Amino acid sequence: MNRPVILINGGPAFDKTFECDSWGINKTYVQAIGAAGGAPVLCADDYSAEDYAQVCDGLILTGSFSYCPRPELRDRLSQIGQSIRVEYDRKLFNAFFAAKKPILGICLGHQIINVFLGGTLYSNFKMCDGIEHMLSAHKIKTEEGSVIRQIFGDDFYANSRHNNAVETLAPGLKVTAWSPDGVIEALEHETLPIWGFQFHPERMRGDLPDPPMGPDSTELFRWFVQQCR
Amino acid sequence: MKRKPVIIIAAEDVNDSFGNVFIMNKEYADCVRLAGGIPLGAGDYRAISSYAEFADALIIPGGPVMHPARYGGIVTNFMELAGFSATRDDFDFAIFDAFCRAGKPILGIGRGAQVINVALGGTLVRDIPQRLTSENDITEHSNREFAVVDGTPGDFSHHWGTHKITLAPDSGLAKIMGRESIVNSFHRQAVDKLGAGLTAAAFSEDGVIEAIEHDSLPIIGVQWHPEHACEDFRRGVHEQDITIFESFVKMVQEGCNE
Repeated sequence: MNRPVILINGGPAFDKTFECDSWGINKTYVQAIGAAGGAPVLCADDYSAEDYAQVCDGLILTGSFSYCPRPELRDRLSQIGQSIRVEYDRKLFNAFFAAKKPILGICLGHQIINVFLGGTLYSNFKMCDGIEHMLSAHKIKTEEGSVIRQIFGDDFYANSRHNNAVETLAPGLKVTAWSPDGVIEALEHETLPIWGFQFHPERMRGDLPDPPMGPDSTELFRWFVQQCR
Repeated sequence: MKRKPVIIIAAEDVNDSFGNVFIMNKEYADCVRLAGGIPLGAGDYRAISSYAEFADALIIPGGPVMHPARYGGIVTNFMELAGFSATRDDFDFAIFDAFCRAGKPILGIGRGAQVINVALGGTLVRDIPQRLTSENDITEHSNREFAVVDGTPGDFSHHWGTHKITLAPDSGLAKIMGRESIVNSFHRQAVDKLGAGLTAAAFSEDGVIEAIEHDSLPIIGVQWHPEHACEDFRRGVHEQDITIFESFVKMVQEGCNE
């Protein structure tokens, strides 16, 4: 009983008739919060961000498609792809930020928190660096004193499904985990309850986590749910 | 500070070629917001009692047909099996039960109205055209798509379009909509035997039950889609109708003391 109410945002989608504008939310996030003792609730419209920040205890900004398909198109961020989502993510982030309520960003959510706080993204870094992080798996090394060190230890095996990454860090954020090839894998805010994970902990749960040789991340969600109390 | 009423909308659980996702159709949420509520989706069975405690009311939205085993039916056409979602049926029935126990207002729309009826022990008409055909002694009409009025087949379809309804004079819905109205229609199934405590509040011209209300609890089900605007080539444009949502939110705010 007394489960913290945690809002989970979605991405642009259609309902089954392909007629109605909808939000689509991957079930894995919802189940991860439900299993960790929270009450997951879902964004239902485009205009209730302030109301949500008033009645909910925490926010998860989820992952989604890559913002930008090619490095040379990075300036068109606001014109293509998920402009609706960017706009609403910003409203949600600002509302929960102003209310000083916990915010957890995963993948795109992690990247966009950095953008909202003044950092930049590195689009399609594989084209310049030759580093492939889409549908691969790799070790992640954690920094001392971080929550991710506390839960997963010095290093752990994780999934990887992204083409963009955090480039310059926003003021107030610090890096708490790295991939062996130098990609920023986790962030924490120095003073506010804000965290970001580049990998997908919501897919790393139960007896068959993704990747199977990785740890069960349910503990990480239990920890976040506790932060929302 | 008194907060606005929080209205939980049961998420549309989709587990097909769309992938492993919950869908929140914004039309329902827009109506709730315009009516003065805070619309939020809900999708995890472990948190159902928390939803019923935290939120002020529940909307069960439209969707695909439920598995007929919920009301004692069997499946003989195996093609039907692909359309059922056991997880969605489970969630809708469980969240209905939680809000019903908590005595909090519940609005069922389309499939949601059918969930209410079956959860309270009622049954469904599995296929409206087939039922009408056999009851009206008409063997075939227009691919069994169209209903019958006064023995004339093909006057309107429940499956697509709009049609007239007549509301029960003492129903709550009649206070909002009057004795007659035009509604849109997108369904193949409908309420058959009424669930315990439910009364039919509206009928279409061919006798199909179009709305249900509970005698003592704040529970309403409508078979049409007030959240959805649509066009009918004979009856013109049917606008989104937020009056039902306004009455629902008002009912929530007044603590259901009608």
